[in-house]
Amino acid sequence: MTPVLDVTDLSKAQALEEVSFTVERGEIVCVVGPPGSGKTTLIECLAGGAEPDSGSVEILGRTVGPGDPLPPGLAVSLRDESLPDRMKVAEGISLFSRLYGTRGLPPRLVDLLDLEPLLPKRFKTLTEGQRRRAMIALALAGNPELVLLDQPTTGLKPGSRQRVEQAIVELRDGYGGVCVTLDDLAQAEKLADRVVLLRRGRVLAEGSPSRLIRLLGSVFVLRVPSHMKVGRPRDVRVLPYASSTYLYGSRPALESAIQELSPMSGDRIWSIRPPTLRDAYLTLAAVPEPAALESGR
Amino acid sequence: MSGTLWAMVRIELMLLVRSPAVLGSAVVLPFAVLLLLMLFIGFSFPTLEFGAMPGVRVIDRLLPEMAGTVAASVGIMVLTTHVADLRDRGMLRRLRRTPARAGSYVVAHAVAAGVLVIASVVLFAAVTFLVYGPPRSWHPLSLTGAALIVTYCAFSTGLLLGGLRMPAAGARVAAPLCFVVLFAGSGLGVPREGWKGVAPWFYEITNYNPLAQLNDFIFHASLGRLSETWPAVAGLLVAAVVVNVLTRRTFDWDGRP
Repeated sequence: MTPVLDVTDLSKAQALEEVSFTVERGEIVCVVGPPGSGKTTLIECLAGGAEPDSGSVEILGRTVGPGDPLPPGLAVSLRDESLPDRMKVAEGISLFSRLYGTRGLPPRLVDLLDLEPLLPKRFKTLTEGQRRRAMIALALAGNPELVLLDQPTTGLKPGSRQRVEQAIVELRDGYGGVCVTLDDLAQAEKLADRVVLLRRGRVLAEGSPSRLIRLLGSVFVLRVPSHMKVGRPRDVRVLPYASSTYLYGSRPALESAIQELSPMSGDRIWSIRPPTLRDAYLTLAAVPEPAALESGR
Repeated sequence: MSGTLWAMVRIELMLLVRSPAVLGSAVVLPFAVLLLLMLFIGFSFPTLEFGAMPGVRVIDRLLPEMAGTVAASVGIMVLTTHVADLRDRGMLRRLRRTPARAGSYVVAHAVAAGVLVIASVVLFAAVTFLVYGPPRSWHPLSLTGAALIVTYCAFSTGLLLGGLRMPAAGARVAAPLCFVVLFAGSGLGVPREGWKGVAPWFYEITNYNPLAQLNDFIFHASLGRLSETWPAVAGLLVAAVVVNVLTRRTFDWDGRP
């Protein structure tokens, strides 16, 4: 099956380096990375807002170059875009539906995004979460086959965040492909069918969240506050970060590490947990060969 | 008019009408100028007759003059700031991603500007006719045609300025400044012949001010005559077409470096 989005070796000076990935129909692909990893530049290159230095982008079967019109089946919602303060949400949706030649937003999406109370409001009066929901609604007014969303939930309260997530799932189920940039790995793990881990403009790894987590092997994780001196416990890989130090290893190896930490930690209760996508990202960023964690090398 | 274009015109008009700055520039401006002239010169000023043109009152001259001034205000001041604001918010980028053609967006703006100018002139004419009575002789169709020519010239300038890669704050300063310079140099609403005796140097300036030339053109059109300034107006029309071609190259939809 032809992917709805096919990105090949996309590069842009100081932002992206040979980024390649695809988005298939009926799939949510999350491009995840910390701030400055190139997510927004990537989406802008795909949306025609920025010109890549090299590489190719195929959207809905059509190769799209700089300055080319985008296929009508594509919807994009960028973070820094808004509508005039004096425009009402209903007017915006009506205008963009007209421009795309559709009958407006499907009622199911209106309900999911809880837009009904926002429709008579002017953009100026919306909160950040409401504004973001309205902007996503505008992008979807064209009944798209492929949706590109740039950090749609960053900074939102849990209620708005959940609504946006539900809408994204609905898009996958009903419309086609969804490519979302996120900086929250836990959210990506929950939402994505496939994840593209981006670091300093390069693709660190790509695959389903479970596959990426499995790359770590059969390890467990112990998180230690960064102020505690960990040393070099046996058969445990130690990855120190600014806020915490992460210990990876088998359950018995981590239990012995806890014994070593006990004199410093007093009555603290430690929890050993299975790895998450965040662990996979941190590990892949630090260790070239993640399977090495199993042996604690 | 196609459905898409009509939808864009409707939205543009709605946005413009909801803006207090636009209402000030288009609706309040002519009344404010008339009031100020009466306060400074005298309340009988509008009904005074021109010495050189018997039967033509100052108000008969002021109506077409204000039509030109409103057209310049809407085209230069309103359009420049409006386009810069839309770009600043990423609305232009969003519009460009839709299947609608860029041309329809520009036409929608032009139609909205034209409607706004005509509505303002109709309101001003209605009120002044009610208070001072209609002129002895006037040609509304010629007046409308001339006002639309001035609107086109001003619209072209506004689109060029608004399309430049300039932050919205910069446009909010540059556009009113540009309009104020034009308006001041056109005679400040006073029929420019009036300055001949009072300040000949100022009258000289009005000879070179594009808005003064255009206003003269509208005034004579309202009387059913061709103004002596028609060569200047023809030159400005050609310049507007050149500006349109230039705007096609320079118009910035993205607002990004």
